[in-house]
Amino acid sequence: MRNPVMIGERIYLRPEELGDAEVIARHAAEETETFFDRRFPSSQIAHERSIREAYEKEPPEYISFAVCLRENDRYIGLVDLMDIDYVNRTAETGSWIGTPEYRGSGYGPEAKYLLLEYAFDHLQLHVIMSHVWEPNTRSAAAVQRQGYRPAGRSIADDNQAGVWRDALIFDILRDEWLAAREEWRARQRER
Amino acid sequence: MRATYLTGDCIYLRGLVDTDKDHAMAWMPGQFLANAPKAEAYFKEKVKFGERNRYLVICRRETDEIVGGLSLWMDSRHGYVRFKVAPWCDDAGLIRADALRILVPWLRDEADLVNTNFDIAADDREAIAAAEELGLVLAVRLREWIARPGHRVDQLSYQAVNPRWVPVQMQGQTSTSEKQEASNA
Repeated sequence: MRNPVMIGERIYLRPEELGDAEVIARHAAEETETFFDRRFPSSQIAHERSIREAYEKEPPEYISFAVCLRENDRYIGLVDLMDIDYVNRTAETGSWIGTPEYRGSGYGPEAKYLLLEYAFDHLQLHVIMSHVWEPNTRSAAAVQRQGYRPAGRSIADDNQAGVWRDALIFDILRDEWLAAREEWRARQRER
Repeated sequence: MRATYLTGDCIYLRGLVDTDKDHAMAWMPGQFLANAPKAEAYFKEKVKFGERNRYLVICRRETDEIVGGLSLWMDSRHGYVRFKVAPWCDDAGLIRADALRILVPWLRDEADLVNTNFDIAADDREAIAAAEELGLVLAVRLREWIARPGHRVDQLSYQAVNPRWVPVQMQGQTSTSEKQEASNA
């Protein structure tokens, strides 16, 4: 493993490196499902700048982890904490398994639980929110399985092909994350 | 520098000027200390023409005293407003309420944004009353989001949804897309 921060059963989280920018841009270009950055071609240069800038502030307002396979260090996606507020102890989470063959196999939840462990136990955050674009029903179901509770909807968040769509907003407290993680671990043991 | 069209009952809004660096604690976003060099660095990094993030100062009408600031992220469709009120002001709720009365007609009706979001603490009675009087929709409640001495309060997201883009009957509890489809049928 290269520079791990959080280690799970099959994956680990590490700080993003400049070399990840090319993979992120390629995944975004090939995306067919989650519409990263509202389906606008993203630049490797912009991703490099974003990674560089994320390390300039201390403490950081934005933390992004590379999600890598333990067996071969392959980069399969990212999970991040945005808008971190160290006084109110809040943040927003995001996740994106950019490699389609690793979707639907439990890698996303495993990465999310590691991210939440980092947020709640390492940064001592109190509550986390997440937002899901409404048509992405898989993500909406996933965050609720991870313990998030519905907090409302942002109205007319985006328009695609002439139809306004809302964004669904969720939040999660530390105790809810602990309970959800135990349930998830129990399900994993049953498999 | 007062923007005549952004003047309310007790406050007005204006763009940042160089001398605001001497009052950074009043307007600068964030909870940490801000002095003049930090404000100058902020001007250099953040205050640029044509940026999606804009910053306005909140001043009292009668005295021109700087009592706060706001950050406004906006593109051609959406706006997102966050207020900062100077830590010594004991009428913070009234200041935010008056700012809301200025901002909603400007962003929703004049700038024609589809939706503008205002984050308001659940214990900010004056701002909540202003939001409801202006017809804003309570869209999101984030639990225990804001730390207060000895306790926490929820954060409410009130949204000014533009009826020219999203008809009033489509704003609220269910998906706008579902309602739109139902309405079209």
